[in-house]
Amino acid sequence: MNAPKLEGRRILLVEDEYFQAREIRGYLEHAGMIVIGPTGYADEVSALLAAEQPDAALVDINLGTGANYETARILKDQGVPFAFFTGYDQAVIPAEMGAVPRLEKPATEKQVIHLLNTLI
Amino acid sequence: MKHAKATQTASVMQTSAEEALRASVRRLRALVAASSDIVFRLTADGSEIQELDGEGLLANHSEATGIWIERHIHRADRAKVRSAFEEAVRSVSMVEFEHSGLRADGSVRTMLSCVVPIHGEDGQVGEFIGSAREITGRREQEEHYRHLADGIDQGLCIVEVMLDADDRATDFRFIETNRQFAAQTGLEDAVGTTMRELAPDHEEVWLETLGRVALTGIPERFDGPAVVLGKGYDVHAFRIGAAERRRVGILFRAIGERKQAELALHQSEEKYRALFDSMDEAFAAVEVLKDGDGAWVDFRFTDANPAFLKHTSMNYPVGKTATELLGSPSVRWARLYGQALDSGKPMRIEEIEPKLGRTFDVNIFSLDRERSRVAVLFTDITERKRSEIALRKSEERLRAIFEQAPMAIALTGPEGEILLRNAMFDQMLGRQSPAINARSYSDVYRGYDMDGRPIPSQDWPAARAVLTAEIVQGEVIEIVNHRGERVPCSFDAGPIRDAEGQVVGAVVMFRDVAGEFAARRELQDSEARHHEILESISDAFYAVDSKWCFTYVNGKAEEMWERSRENILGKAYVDEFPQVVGSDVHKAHLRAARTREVVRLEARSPLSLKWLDIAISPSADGGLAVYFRDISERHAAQERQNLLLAELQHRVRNILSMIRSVVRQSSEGYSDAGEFVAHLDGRLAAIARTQVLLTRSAGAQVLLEDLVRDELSSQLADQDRVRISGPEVSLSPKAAEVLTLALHELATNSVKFGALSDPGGDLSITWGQAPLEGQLWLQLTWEERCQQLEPKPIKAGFGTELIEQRVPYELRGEASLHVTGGGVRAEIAFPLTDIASILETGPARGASR
Repeated sequence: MNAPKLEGRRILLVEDEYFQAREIRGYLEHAGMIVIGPTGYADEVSALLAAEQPDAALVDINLGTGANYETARILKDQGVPFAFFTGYDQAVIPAEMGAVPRLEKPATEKQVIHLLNTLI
Repeated sequence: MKHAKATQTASVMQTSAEEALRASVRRLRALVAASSDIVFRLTADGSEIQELDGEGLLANHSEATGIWIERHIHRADRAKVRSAFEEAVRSVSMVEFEHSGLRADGSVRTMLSCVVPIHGEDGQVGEFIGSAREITGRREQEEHYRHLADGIDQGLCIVEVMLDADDRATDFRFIETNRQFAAQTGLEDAVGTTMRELAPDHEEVWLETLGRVALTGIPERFDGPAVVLGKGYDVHAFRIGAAERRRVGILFRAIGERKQAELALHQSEEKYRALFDSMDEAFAAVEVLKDGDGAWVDFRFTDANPAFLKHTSMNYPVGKTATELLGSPSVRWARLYGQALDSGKPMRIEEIEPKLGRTFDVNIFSLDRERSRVAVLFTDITERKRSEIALRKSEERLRAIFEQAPMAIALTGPEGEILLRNAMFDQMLGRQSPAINARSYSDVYRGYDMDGRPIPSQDWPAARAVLTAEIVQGEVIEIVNHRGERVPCSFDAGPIRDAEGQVVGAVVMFRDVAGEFAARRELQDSEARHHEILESISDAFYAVDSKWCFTYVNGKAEEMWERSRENILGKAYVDEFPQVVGSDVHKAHLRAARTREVVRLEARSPLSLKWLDIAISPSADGGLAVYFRDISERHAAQERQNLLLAELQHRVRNILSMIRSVVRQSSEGYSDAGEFVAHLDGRLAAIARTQVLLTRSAGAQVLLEDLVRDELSSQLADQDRVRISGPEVSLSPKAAEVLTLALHELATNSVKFGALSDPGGDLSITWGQAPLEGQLWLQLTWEERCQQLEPKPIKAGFGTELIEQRVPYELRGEASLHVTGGGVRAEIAFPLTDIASILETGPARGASR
C-alpha cells in the first residue's frame, strides 16, 4: 500500500453511508492521503470544493435520493479526476459518464488504492 | 411345165429365178441384220409366226408358234392387231398400225408395226413379212409437241420428278422448257437444273402436286405460288409417258394473265368450251355404238373436259372408244347411254367406281339422237358422301352427348315451345307435358330465384333467350323437381338464330348445383366465422394482397390507427401510411414478402409511436397477413423491471459493502473472538430487523414506537421496567435504519452493563417533536437509572460512533452520550426528512428512487 505518489494527496470522498465512508477514509489515510469530506450530501460538495481543491475524488452515485450525477458534472467541469464508487452496473451509467472509471461495491483496500493510482 | 421345151425353158427360168430369189433373200437378210427393227415372218393366214429377230426387244425365236399375239401384244390391243391383220389379209396390201407391245420382260411399249404380204408364184399371198419398231419415245415427243402447240401462249416445261424411297417428291429437274417459260418465270437456262438448285425455298405444294401427278398419272390443276418469283401461277400438271419415267408436263401462266385470258375467252365464241373446261363437273360427249344386232355395245368419246380427265384418271379420250381406252367393252355404260338415247329422258344415277374407290353422281342426257350422241355429266361425290357419313356420325355423337350429358338440355321453337329434351331434363322435372310456349312455362314448371320469389314464365332463361335473345350464363334458380323438392340449378340459355339472324328457338341447359351450393355456403360461413374471429380478437389484424393493397382491416386495427377501414381497403399500404417507409416495421414487411417466411418483431410503431408486437405472415395469394398489438405497457413494465433489477443489484452490493464495513470495523478493540461475534451478530440482527420493517409494505413508514419495542424485545429486556413515551412519529427509512442501530448499541450496553442488567434499574425512552429552522425535528432521550449497580463509563469505539457520529453524518442531526450518576443518558435529535435507506429492497416507492 505504500504509494509515495499518493501520499499527501487530497481526495474528496462522497459517500452517504457512514460505515463505508468511514472505512474508505481509513484506507486513504492509511496510504497517507488527506480526505476531504467525507460527505453524504451533494449540496455540501460545492462548499468543500470551494474551500479546498482535491487531487481526485471518489463519488457514490446514489446518495439516498436515487442516482444523481450532479456532483460528477461539477467535478468534470472543474477538471478533477474522479471515479464512481457504486453498486450500479456500468449499463445504468449514462453515456456522458461512460468514460468515468467505476469501482464496484464492495471493494477491498487494494482495489481502492489501485484505482486512485490510476486517477492521479 | 407340160412341154419339154417349155420345161427346159421353165427350168432355166426356174434356176435363174431361184438364184434371184436366193439373192433377194440374202439381201433381205442383210437388210434385216442391218436394220434396228424387229423383223418377223408370218404364215399367210397370220396364225403362226415363223421366225423372229427380236433386236433385243423381243425374244428371238425360229420355231413356228401360234401364240404370238398372246406373247407379244398387250391384251388391250389384241383385237386391234387382229383386225389390222385381217385387213391386211383381205386387202392384200401393206398395213401399218400402232399398238402396245409386250416386251420379253413384260413391260409395255408403244410399237409401230408394219406387215407386208409376200405373194407366191400363184399370185396368192405366201406369207407376211413384218417389222416392228418401238416408238414410245416418239409418241412422247409427239405428246410434248401437241401440248406445246396447245399451250403456246403459256409457260411450259417438262420435268423429271425425283422421288425418295417412300415415293415422296424431293425435287424435280427441268428437261425441257418453252419460250414462254422464260418469259413467265424469268429463268433463262433452267434446263438440266433442279428446282432446289434454282429456288431452295420453293413452295412445297409444287413438289407434292407434281409428285402425285407423276405417281398417279392424274392431271392436276392448282394455284402454284412462287414467292421467289413474286408471282402466283395457275398450273396444269400432267404426266407424260410411262409412270416409271416420272415425267410431268407443267403448263402454267401467271394468275393475273389467266384472268385476262379468261375474260377474252368469255367474249369469244368458245365461252362454252371454257365453261366446260373450267367447271368441276366432268363433261363428256359420246357417240353410242351398236353391234351388228343393233344392241348398244360401245361408245366413242367426241368431247371431254379437263374435269372429266381428272375424275376418271383417263388419258385424253377424244376419238377413242371405251374398248380402246379400257381394253374391254364397257357394255353397262353403253347400255345406259343407249337407254338415254332411246327414251330421250335424262337419267341420273349414283355410281360407285370400285377401282378408283370413288362415287360419282352421273347425269346422262341425249344430245343428238340422229347421230347417237349423248352427253354425260358427273361429279365426284366421294367427298360429299364421306362428309354425309361424317355428318351422320357427328349427329350421332351429338345425340349421344345430348342424351348422356350430365345436365338437362332442351331445345325450343320460336315460341319457346319445347321441341326436344333429353333424359336428364325429364329426370329433373319429371315427365310432364312440356310447356306450350315461353309465356306459359310457369304453368308447368315451378322455380324460385335466390331471394325466394317465384319465377314468372317470361323470366325463365329459355323464355328470355327466345323472347329477347338474351344469353343467360350460370344463373341459379331453385327448381321444384318432380318430387316437389327445391333443387338449386345453374342455368345457361341462348337463342338459336337462322341464317338471317332471326331467333328461331333457344337452347337451355341446367344442372343440379346443390352440392356446389352447399360447398359455397360452407365457404361463406367459414369466411363469416373467420371474419368474426378476426373482429373479436384483441390483436389488430390487416391483410394486403400481392401489390400490398389492403384486403382486410379488422376493428382493432381501425381503433389503433384511428382510421376507418372503408377509407383504407383497396388502397396501397405505403400510400396510406407514408410514415412507415424505411422503418423497421416496413423492413419487416419487405423481409416477409421476400423470404415468404413469418417475421416477428417488437418495434415502435412509426404511426402511433407505441411499442407493438408484430407478426407478419406471407399469405397464399402472395400477400401478407399481419397481426399486431400494443405492448407499450408490457414494454414499460419490462423497462421498469430492468430498472428495478439494476436498482436491486445496486442495493444488494451496497448492503454487502455496508456489512463488510460493519464487520471490519466491529472488530476494532476486541481481543475476544466470542465477544466480537456476539456483538457483531447483534448488530447484523438489528440491520436485518430494520430491513424487515422497511420491506413490510411498499413505501412503509416505520413508527418510532414499533422500532423501539422491537429492539427491546430482541434484547429480551423486561419491558415493565422500561417507560416508553412520545407522540406517534413515523420515520423515514434512513432514519429508521440509523436509529435502530443506535438504539441497539444503547440497549446492548444497557443489558450488559447498565440499568437493564440491574434488577432494580429502569429505563425511560421518551421523544417529542419540535420545529427548528423550518424543519420538524425529532428529539429522543434515552435515560437509564440504576439502583444497585454502579454505572460504568462507556468505552469510546465503533459502538459510540454509531450514535455520536453516524446520526450527524447520515441524518444531519445531533447525538450525545453521557454517563451520569444514575446511568447512561443519550440524546438524539434529527430533522424528520424523507431519506431512503439501502435496506429498502421491497417494491419501489416512486419516481424519486
